[in-house]
Amino acid sequence: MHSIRRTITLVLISSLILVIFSAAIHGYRAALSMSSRFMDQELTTLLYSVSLSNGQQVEGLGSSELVYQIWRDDELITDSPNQPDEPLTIGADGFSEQNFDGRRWRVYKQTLIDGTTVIVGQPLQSRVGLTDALTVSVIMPFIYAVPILALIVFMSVSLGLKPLKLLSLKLSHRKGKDLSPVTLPQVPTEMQPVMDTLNTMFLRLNEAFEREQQFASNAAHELRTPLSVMKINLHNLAKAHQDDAGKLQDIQQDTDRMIHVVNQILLLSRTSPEMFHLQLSKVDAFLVAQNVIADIYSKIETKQQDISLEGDSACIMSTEFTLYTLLQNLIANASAYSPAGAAIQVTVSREGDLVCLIVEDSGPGIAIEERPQVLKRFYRDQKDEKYKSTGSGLGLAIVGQIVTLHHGSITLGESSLGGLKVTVSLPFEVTES
Amino acid sequence: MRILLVEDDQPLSAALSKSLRDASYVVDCVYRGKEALAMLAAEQTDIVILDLGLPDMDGLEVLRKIRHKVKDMPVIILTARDKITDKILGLDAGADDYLPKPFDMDELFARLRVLERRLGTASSAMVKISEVALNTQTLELTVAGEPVSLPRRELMLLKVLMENGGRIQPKQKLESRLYEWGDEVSSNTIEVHIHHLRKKLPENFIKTIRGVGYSIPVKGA
Repeated sequence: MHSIRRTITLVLISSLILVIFSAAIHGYRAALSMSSRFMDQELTTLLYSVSLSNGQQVEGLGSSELVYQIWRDDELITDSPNQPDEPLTIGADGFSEQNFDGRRWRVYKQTLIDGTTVIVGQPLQSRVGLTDALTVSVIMPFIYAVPILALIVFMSVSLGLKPLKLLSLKLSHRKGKDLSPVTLPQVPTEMQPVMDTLNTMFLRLNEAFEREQQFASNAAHELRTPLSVMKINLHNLAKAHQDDAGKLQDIQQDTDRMIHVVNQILLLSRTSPEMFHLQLSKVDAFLVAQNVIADIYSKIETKQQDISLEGDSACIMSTEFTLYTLLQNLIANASAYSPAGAAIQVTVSREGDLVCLIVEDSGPGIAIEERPQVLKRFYRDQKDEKYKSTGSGLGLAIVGQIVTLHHGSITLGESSLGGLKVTVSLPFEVTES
Repeated sequence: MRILLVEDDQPLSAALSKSLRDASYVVDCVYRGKEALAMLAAEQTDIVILDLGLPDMDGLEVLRKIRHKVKDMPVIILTARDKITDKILGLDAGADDYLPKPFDMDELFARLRVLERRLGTASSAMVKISEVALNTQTLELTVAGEPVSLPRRELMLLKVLMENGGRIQPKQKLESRLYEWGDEVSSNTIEVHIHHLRKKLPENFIKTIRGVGYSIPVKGA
């Protein structure tokens, strides 16, 4: 991964090192040229003092490795102690560098008016030694500064990037469906446009999301009213033409089926995860089951089916609407896929942290190999034709979706009543994914 | 019986009023909440059928204003919204009944009959299911033409069940009705009353829906 902090720190530290070393090299060169000018000047001074000494020993050279020679007519008149008697240079007057006595020397030669030649010299090595000492004293503070500067760079880069880190932390800790604007205690100028764009985006998303939700309820209204008209007109038509009522029955059934599909599609959109997590509250599944049975009882009664509700109060974190939809689909399915006179049993029970909703019937059940299929959308049982069911094929898909919302599980099995047994286990708490 | 139909969708209003007129109701159709309130002030109305989605004002607001004007006007709410909270809001705002669209005409007629009985015209005060007949005004009960006497509480209970024939009356709802009538309610009060009723009524007349409540089946409902 590409890291801004690492890149900035690396670039800053390496350019710092580069600058320091070029400064060091430059300093070394400057020190070298300054010291050689200074030393040349020293040689010149020495030459004059030697030429004024009239063949006497020149005192005060001390430990400095300066040497001198005075020549007249190729004869050595005098020189500094402990030196070979060869001439330091045989070249022309002026400054030069020569090999002498196994070392390299800086040499200054001057021929005086009386024909006397004075030569002074200094080993190059001693000059370099001086330059080195000078250079090191110039560079050392820089060398010490490098790690300290690196630390400062690292810390200031981290400090500078802190708002960015805070933003990413805030975003990653956000709940799935939270589309509210992001706020930071202090927003640096550079991040303001990012924050603005981000918040504009959140706002638009939120609007789009609300529009989508609105769409469901608008669609409900738009479709349900004309469907009501259709249904009532059919009713009137059947009344007016009592003899042909049988022919109208098919259209009436089709209308009912259309109404059912519309309702189911709306349910599917309304039990979406976006809606769900916003409205969680404690709901008693047993009470909801009672309401569902009371509401769809007329259909069960028409088929002479016998329904019973077992169990006791069992609260769960959910919404009334989702639990109602879940149970309504399961119970309506049990009734629709069971013959007249069948028994349907609904059980609500608590098992540890789980609430179990069981709907079983004495109908024909579902073959084992078909069971994985039925939870898919728009799948309809082969036996639908036999029972003239008005199913949309969405019922169990809606159930599946609701079970997923709760992070619960659904199993299909055989009932002791002889038919299908659908067991839905929902954890009491819904943890947000 | 004169019905005020408040529904802004013209095709629905036309179909519904035709259906109601065929069933010999007198129907006044209005399309706006304000018209409805004006109509109520001007004309004699027995029952209001009110759509919640009106263009000029919120249906619940219309309902509250109707309640304010005529305290005990029977109102049935129609709505295309299906949220349970809408249902509760509607009933809380004083609706007598609630029908989500699209509904069965037979269902609407059944609900209208319940309201009519409450209004108490002599003919409609009689509820008859198979051979059991109950006058909901005088609480006179006959089984196969023979008068049967029962305590008033039990007759009240029977009235609720018969008026809602074919539908389940949850036990809690019946219990809360008993409270309204000033009865002491213990955990098995309803069971005791039902037990007494059954002794006087034909076999299997009152059906128990285990875990939910009671219902009186209506043949051909």
